[in-house]
Amino acid sequence: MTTGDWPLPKGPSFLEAKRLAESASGPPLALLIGMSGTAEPLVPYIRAAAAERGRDARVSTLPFGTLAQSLREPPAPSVIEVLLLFPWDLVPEADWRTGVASVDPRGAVTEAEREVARLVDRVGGRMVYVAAPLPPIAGTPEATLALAAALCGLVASAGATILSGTCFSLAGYLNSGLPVVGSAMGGVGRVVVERAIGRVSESAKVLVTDFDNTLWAGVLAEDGDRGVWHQAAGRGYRHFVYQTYLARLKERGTLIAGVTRNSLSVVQPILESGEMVLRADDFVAVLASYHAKSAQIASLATSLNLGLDSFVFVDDNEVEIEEVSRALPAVRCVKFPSREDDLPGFLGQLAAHFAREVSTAEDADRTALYRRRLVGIVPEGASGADIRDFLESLGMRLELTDRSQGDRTRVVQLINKTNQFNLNGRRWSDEEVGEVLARGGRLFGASLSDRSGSHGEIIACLLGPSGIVEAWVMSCRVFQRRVEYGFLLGLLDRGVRPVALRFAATERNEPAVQFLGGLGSGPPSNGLLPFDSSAFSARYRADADLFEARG
Amino acid sequence: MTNRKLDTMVAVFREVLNLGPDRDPRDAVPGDDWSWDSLAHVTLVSALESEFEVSIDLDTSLSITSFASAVEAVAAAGVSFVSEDG
Repeated sequence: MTTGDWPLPKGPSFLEAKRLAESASGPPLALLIGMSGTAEPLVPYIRAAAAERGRDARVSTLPFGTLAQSLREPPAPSVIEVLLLFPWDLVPEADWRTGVASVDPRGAVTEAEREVARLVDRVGGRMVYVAAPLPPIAGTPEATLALAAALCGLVASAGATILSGTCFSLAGYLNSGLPVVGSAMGGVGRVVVERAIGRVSESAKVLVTDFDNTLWAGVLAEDGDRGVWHQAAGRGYRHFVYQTYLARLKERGTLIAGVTRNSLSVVQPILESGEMVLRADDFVAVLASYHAKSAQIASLATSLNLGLDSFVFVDDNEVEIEEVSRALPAVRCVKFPSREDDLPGFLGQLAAHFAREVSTAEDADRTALYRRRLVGIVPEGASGADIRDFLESLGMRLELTDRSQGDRTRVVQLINKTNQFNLNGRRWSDEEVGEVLARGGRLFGASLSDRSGSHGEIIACLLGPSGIVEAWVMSCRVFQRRVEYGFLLGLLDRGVRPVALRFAATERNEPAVQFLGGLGSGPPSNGLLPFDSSAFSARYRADADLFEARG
Repeated sequence: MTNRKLDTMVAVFREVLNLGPDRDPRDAVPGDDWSWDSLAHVTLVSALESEFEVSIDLDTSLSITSFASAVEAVAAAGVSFVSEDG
């Protein structure tokens, strides 16, 4: 039985849960939620989680405060009981609603052991325990913490799923007896259903990891292998810990694959440098191309002859996560954390996906057995999922700024440090930019923000006096968001009409090549590419709706 | 002019109070006329927390006695209801 702290899966919101619950079909599932608090508001979320698993749940609950009493009655036949427990179900003196009591911790643990044994006799491991904070009932803060830890240990040993105390709402519990915070209800519903009818799928077999800002901090194609961080220090620490965990997973038989919007020539040196925890041979495959990641993962699954439901995909970019999860719903997608404090929960999620109790010598050799050289397996033109409505939901704001006057330091820096979405790779000194502006040229920057915050200034564009775009770069942080289209539309809306783009292919500007190639005239040739602003505006006008343009 | 968050609020009220198309959730008040009893109130507060990904404290939840006060409560938790088109 799997035990331990189980990070809460994200579940549907209230309205989504109601919609799912109303669409429920399939075999009936009779569930009783044994909980001492008010459980009725959880019902739609539990029905939704069951509906997602193809079951039509009939959920019953207990009246407030009657859990202990009802557990003395024999269970109803054909009804699956799942207990949603809180500390006060094991130590009544820990109940916030009765104020702060006093207990002998040892006696309390002994009583809790007996209670857990009774519960296991009744429901086995079908228990979910919310590790809500305890009131100061055990004399000293240390003793109260020790008591809380002992309770977690008891229920974990009994096979319960333990949920973080962040699921607990003291306000809700005191006010109405509902101890689960609203934003956690969808996730709790899913965990309850998992406890009732088992996990969604077996342990995963393949972990596909993004590289930039996931396997290491930084962007390899922009910062170079000396500018990215993967060491056990500073910015690299989070990524170092991740790599060590991937190494452990690989030892236990998990196949590790890399997927990156880079060319292989960019990533190969760092993988073969021997300076990272993970080495090239630790990867069963490295998929390095600018195709949609979903297409690359699908091709990998075909090549390895493994089902997509055995894949887990890790990326720091929520747009990539959304694209893969839409195109390949069977793949389990996990976002790499942007903060160190979220690392434990992230690794706990991975551990839940790759739960494997025993490993063998064959497990350790599995990567070698499966390894293929898979670069280039993605068919040309492979496309990803349509994520337009997701992009709309991001609430993106694109702010164009005319940098022709005043401080232009940041945009000139951006031109000179950006390699991937770079029109021609030319580097510009501040004096050279100043000369173009003095002759009537224009310099624009653009910054992007969305619901998760600001991405900063992410575009720089220099137009010569005759309307030729001499330099145009965009940060890779905002790839896949159609920002490049929004930016050009923003220029046109301001009456700035480029007449041509000065293009040159470089070793690393494949994203710019793809953009230009997608405009309709095929792969671009070095030199001046005519730009038909009217045709562009007519074709891509809808992209303006993705942004709340400013400036 | 549309406001998606206000539309969401309307939908939440409609679902929680089980209102038919002939009733405007903006007019809802606690009491039997609107099926707004104590359990509905618990469900409403929880649904607002879920839908808008906010946490509503005890005092604020008790102040929710109308559609407008629910908007105020969610706005106080950090959600902007300024029209996205405006």
